[in-house]
Amino acid sequence: MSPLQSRNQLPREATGVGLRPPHYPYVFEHWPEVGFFEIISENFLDAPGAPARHLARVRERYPIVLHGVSLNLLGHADPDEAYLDRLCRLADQVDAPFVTDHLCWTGAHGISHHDLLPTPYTDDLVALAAERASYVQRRLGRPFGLENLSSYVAFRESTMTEWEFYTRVVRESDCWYMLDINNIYVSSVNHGFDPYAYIEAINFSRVLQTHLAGHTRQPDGVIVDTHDRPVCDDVWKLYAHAWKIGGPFPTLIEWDASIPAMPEVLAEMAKAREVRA
Amino acid sequence: MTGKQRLAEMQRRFGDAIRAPLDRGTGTLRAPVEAYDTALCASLAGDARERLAVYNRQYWFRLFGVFHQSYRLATALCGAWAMNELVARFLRAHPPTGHDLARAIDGFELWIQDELPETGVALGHTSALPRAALVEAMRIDDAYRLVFEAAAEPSLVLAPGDAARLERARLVPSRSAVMVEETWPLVQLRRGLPSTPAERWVALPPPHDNGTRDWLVCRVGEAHRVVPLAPLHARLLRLLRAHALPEALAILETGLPSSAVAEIAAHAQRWFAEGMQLGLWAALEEVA
Repeated sequence: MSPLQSRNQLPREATGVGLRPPHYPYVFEHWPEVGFFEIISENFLDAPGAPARHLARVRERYPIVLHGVSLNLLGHADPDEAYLDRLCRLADQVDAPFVTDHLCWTGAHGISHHDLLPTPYTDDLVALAAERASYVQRRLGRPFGLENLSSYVAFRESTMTEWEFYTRVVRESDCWYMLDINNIYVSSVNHGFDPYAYIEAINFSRVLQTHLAGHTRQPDGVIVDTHDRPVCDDVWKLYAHAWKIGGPFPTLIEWDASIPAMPEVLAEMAKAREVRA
Repeated sequence: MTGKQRLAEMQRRFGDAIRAPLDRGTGTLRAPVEAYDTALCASLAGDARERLAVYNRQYWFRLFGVFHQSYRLATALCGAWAMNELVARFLRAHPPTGHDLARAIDGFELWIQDELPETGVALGHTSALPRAALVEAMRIDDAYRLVFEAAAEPSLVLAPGDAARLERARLVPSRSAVMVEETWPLVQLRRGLPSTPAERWVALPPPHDNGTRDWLVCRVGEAHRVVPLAPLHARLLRLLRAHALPEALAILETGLPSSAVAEIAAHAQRWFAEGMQLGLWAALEEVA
């Protein structure tokens, strides 16, 4: 294990849910059995008002991990120090076991696209991403996990597979995997690779957490990572395989659009435990 | 070229494609795949234009969603289609720059005031939403948002000895209560809106017969509450932003007919008690 370990690690078997505003009333009334909640970091950075109050209440009863969408690790510009300051404060505030974000770029030339965008997979970008991820982990003072993308385009100049790129960045940065099983499946269909080969390449002792979510298949066959429905059978099979070769690892259900009532999300979480049993 | 320079160039071209305005000409919002940068498309495998279109649509629809959510009433009055056009025009001039997606709306109301003619937004061939009504709706939406986002702060609790302080101290308004003034009955309209905006607009109701109405949007627990304000009560609350209570009452009564002065006398204590109950004030501050 890396010298950078959290003081309050999650149990490896833990299952959790991405906390979204429609869930608050249910959570505060029922306090469901959830191993941990994951929050979108950007929704709570120096947040005043209702978000901060809700977060404090949830934190009283559950571990909270931070999942960011705006680090812009592979943006052409250097990391945003002010953003990192705020992220560090939030991680300290909730005593997060770990923090995660994506191996991607989100903005450039002063404009934020609020999307998780791919780059070519090349040696020089392995080095750049690893250097920055390592820096972020040092700044945070706690484990930092990188999430693999779901993507819709692939660059001709790539000199390696996505999983080679991903595993090299994690290894060279001494950071961790935030392995999104659904994203592997989505990209495997969109780019025509074997998702099981991807899973086989992962060093599961460095997996902080996995994500599961639903997606949407367009009429042209492209799959879009919409997080708006239950996890599909193919993704459950991939998850079961990952668990078989690399489990246990913390698992989280993400549901970000057409969000159903909390019991339905909890049922997906329970299904994760059944699938791997 | 260094790795970072190559990234910068790729990201400039990619960003331009993502932000390309969606084509409205066919009556649906279509990604303008033919307009994407040729060199960028050549650098991508497969059917690059259709794949870039996924990001292009996601960029716009994500932002449209943020504006619809932040401006529920304004979106209802415009209908989603017309609102999306305004949002697209605004974002082409002011694309989002920060990590907080919710802040993409910053500057929108000012832009509407500067860029939209007084006649406002054309709705179909025969109808229009005047700019003043749109701005009023946006301010009401803003009030709800400000109250939601307001930091928790203890409400003012008056101790027995504070009665004397009220003579010379200003009541500091709580950030979890915002006054709104309406020319059209929009607050009531907002309360009845569905959570998802429709493509077609909701008709602007006729304006109030006799001037404006005032409302207080406040937070009670974690819920919004809207309270109608009598005209004199609203004027008193505005005066209290700058003056101590006796001074505010004196200004309010100046030039009023005796019937209105009597109304103030009859209601002032109840208004004050209700304000305390609603957590309208955060503190007492000595007036310099």
